Amino acid sequence: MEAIRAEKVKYTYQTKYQKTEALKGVSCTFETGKMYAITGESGSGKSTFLSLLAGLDVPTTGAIFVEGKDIKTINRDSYRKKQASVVYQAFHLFPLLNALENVMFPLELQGISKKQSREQAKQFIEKVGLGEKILKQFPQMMSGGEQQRVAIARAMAAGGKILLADEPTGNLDSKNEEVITSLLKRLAHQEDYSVIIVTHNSKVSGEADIVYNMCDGELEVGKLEII
Amino acid sequence: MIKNSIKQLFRTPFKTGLFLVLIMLAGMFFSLGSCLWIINSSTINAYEKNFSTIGTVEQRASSIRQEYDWDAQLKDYKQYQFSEYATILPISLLSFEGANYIQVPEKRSFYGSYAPEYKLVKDDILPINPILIAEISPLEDGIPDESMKVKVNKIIYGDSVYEGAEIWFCNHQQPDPEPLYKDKSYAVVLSYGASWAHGEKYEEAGGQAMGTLEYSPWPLSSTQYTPDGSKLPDLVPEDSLEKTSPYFEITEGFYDTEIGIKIQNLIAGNKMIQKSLPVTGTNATILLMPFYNGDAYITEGRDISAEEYEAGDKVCLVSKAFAQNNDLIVGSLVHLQLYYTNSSYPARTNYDISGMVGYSSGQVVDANGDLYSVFEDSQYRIMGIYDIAPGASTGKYSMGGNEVIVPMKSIENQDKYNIVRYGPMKGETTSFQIPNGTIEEFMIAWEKYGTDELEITFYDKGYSKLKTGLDNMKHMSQLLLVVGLLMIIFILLFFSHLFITKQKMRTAIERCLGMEKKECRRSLLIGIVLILLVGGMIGSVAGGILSQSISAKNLNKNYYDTAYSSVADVSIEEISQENQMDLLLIFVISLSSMGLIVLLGTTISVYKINQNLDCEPMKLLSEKNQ
Repeated sequence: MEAIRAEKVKYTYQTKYQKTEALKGVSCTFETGKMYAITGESGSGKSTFLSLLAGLDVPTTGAIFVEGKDIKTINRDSYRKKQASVVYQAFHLFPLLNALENVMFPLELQGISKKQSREQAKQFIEKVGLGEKILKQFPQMMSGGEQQRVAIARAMAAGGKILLADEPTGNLDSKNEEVITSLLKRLAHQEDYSVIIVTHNSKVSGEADIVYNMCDGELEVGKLEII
Repeated sequence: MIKNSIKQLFRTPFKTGLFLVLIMLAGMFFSLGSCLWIINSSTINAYEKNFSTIGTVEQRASSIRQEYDWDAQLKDYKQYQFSEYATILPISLLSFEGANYIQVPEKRSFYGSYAPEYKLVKDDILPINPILIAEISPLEDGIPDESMKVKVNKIIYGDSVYEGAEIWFCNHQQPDPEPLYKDKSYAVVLSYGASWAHGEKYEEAGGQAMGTLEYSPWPLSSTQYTPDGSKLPDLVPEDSLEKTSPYFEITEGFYDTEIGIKIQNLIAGNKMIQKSLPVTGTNATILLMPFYNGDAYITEGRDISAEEYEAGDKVCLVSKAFAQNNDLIVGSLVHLQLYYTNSSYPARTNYDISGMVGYSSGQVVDANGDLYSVFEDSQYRIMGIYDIAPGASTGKYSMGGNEVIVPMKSIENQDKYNIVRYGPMKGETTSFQIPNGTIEEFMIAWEKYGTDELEITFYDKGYSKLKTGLDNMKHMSQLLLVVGLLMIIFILLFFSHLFITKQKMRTAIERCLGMEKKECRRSLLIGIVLILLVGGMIGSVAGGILSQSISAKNLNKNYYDTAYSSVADVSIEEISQENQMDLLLIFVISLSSMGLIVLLGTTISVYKINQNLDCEPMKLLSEKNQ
């Protein structure tokens, strides 16, 4: 089932000195229940593409459709709140909130009561394989793997079925890299998420159901391969 | 969201606490400075209302003239010194570049007003007129170069009790006076009490030194001037026999001669002056030193307004004694018939405070020996009644008896007719008003453009010294205000950097989690505004309380040392009480200070948050990755 689709997406931005065409007509479809990897060199436009998929900006031309609706026409704040979540290489947990509060944050943002938020947050933390012990811990007290799992739990708590991950294992050791990759894969396959990972890591892309290669703002169709 | 925002704030207690304390301190300085500044400003305003600066002007004598008067008792000349003025300087000299006046300089004349319909002296005061105009004959032939007995044949003017009396008589006008013959009768103006009877005849008659006062002949010359200050030649020349031996043999038809007519006019003029009151024209009551000093003050009605002075309205201030003697009240009309102008002296020199009038033959008839005639006849409405304070000065700056104050411009013929005296500017007759605190500035300009021949004396009731204290307070409050404001700006910029700019990531995460921009703004602002409110309120209130304490304890004691001004004491006490009581004002200032802190903090914070929100969140969060 189609979760999100890009059609001839172009994105141009203007800096002080020059105009840059970051994306040059990207078209692709992401379905639920699958894990995608977008690979490519630094500056190839993969993070910009992820940003457009997250609704943090809109294409200059072309369109991105979410459940058949052009992303330009929907409330993108609400889209990020309810449909799509992002996980980052640097985890980006709120440093002054503990693990439980970090996961409760998107729930409370949706207007769920504090008590319910706490219960649900605990469940999400449990789903990513973390125990009670972690609940009261602040990010700086956790390992990288734990932080990323809390970040994934927070993304899950947001409620959407589109999970966008920007180099999610970039700061992790190989053991944790495996844990996170398999967790994301499990979310795609068992929880029916559409997981889209931007990565340099071939091990991670190797675990993906579908891999797109971004090169100089274009998805090279010829190199599109299904593993 | 609010809870999360506050929770995150309190999880950095040191940073938050420091922000709170610094904002409190800055708020306190700012509020303290504002309160002191406003208290100081209102104090200055109050002082401006209560204080005024008056300058008096006196022309310096260009030389000292020695004069010698014959003393018949010592048989020698007595030396007297008189100030001499080469020219009478015009008041226009005081209009110079840099002179900033509230009331421009005025040289006041006083006018004799013939007032036969008014009672000028209380019934219980016995008029003592030391002048007799009489016909006398000596008991023996003799030269009155020492006391000799004469008989008063007839009193033409004066107390008739002396008619037939024998009195001691001596001519002190010159060393060789004209002889008197016992079979002749002489007309003479007699002055009593100027010297003691003396000489062989007096001693032979058993007289003792300083035992009896004698009578002397009084010169008949007039002192009339033209409006430009030239003395008119008198009927009796200065060096004539009539001047030096002013007694005249009565022959057939004597009273039809020029001297005879003049003597009769002197009698009429003297009677007229006894029924006169002085009228002083001014442009502001405060320019009259007795009013300025508080020796004279309005007890009923009101002062003449600036508009009435400017328009030259026929309004006046009269003395309480005059009003009571004549059953006059505020609103009554006073009939003023001006018939002579004295452009040299203040009213008090001729009109004793009791209402009695001193005699001066020079003033009662003109240079031709004729009576002065009324040159202005008007009805003036009483606006206020003034009284003389108990213990008021009776010296240089005092009021004349029955003195009526009118707007200078209401006198149409001012300084034009019947000028009996003309003289230079004197402290009593010439004054002006300048803004408080500008004496130094005035004197700098005066030294540049003025003349040494005029001496200016300022009276400000100690304002200049008070102003120093006020200025110190003003500078202190301004310093506190600026320091407070700078501290607030610096602290806000510093902490907005810590709490907002350095929280860019937090904003980016919030945005990525679906928070709207306004929610992100609210999330960051709430905590900051809360600190600003609490810190600002505590600091501002503390500043307000402190300002009260400082103004109450230090202002009056340390800065407003009033030892030199008893008049100022009362005003300062009143002003201080007013300031201390105005707690509402302090509250409003404190509240405004807090409002300013919150407003400034919110503005800076919103600006910084908007800068954060302008950053593309995904890019920001990815930067970290790279």
